[in-house]
Amino acid sequence: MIATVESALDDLRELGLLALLDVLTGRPGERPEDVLLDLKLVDDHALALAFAIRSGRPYAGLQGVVPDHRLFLYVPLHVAQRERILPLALADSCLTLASAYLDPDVSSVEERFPTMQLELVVSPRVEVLEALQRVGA
Amino acid sequence: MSAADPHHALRRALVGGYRVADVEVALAQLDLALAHARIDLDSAERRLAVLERVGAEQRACLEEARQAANQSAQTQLELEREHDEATRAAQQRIESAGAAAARDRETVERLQITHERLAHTVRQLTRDFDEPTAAPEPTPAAAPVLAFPPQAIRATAVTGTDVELDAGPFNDLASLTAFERSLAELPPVAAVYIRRYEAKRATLELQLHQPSDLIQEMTTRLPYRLDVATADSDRISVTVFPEALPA
Repeated sequence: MIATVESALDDLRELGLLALLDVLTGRPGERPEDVLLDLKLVDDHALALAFAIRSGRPYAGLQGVVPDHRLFLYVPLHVAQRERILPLALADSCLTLASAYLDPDVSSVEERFPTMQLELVVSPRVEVLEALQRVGA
Repeated sequence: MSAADPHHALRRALVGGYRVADVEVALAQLDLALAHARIDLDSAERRLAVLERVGAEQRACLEEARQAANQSAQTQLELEREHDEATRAAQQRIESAGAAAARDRETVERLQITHERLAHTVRQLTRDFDEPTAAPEPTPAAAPVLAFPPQAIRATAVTGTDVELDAGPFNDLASLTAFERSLAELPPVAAVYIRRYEAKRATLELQLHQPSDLIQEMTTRLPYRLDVATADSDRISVTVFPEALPA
């Protein structure tokens, strides 16, 4: 996972998006992805695409996506907001989650629904948060 | 004295005949024997009546058994006749199925022959297609190298203002974002949004200012060689090749 993040950062470096990588060590305990995004060093979409390309996971843009309220029975809203994930669809006991990170903590969902498979797709963090705001509204 | 010999105990009177008392006893005994005989006769008549009734019932049962036997025989004949008819029908169906199978077999053989001919034609076409590319004729005034002639790509309809473009392969972020930027710089394109990316192919949503021939625009303006797989008014699928550097 760390290697994937580093590789994604390499991609962004090649694109000239990373000029101040040193700040990553200045905020310990925080995800490096969030540091990059909060400091606006990288674009949400570019980072999500880089994660998807490097990890082999699918990428999904969430612009215009209307969240299904029923799916939050499986993923509580506070877990979704904390982990930056959005349940997209449930089919054949497989719950598709849009995630801003490659390693969201979904252990509570897995423990509560042990027979359900979780499939992660990578999405821009800003679009995940916007979609979650639409749910809370 | 018994009833069979009623005169045995009769004694002679002193003046001719038998004693009156003995005669009366003998008559009483005869009356008693007659009464017994009547009782036996009545009993025999009742037994006879019962036997006659039983005999009538048994005759009736026998008649019913005969009728049932006749019906069974008729039923057996009908069943045998139906069995024969079913056997004949089954044989006819088997014969018709055999004929149909033979016809199907002939059709399959004809299809196999057609398939082999088509495969041979495809192989021939492939060989004809490969041979010129393997040894191209040097033409100094040749057009720029394009894997697919523009005429084939231009045979598409004008798209609407919202177009879904399926493109690939993109092996890295740089190539994908470069293609996205190139699309955004096209004059008719108002906005580009990457909707999906999976297995090195991306689905991009394009919003155009107005309906236009997007494939023509992409072919002539983008620094890529494009192989258009499918093209509808709202969906285009292309394979993107990097443009060869000029020699």
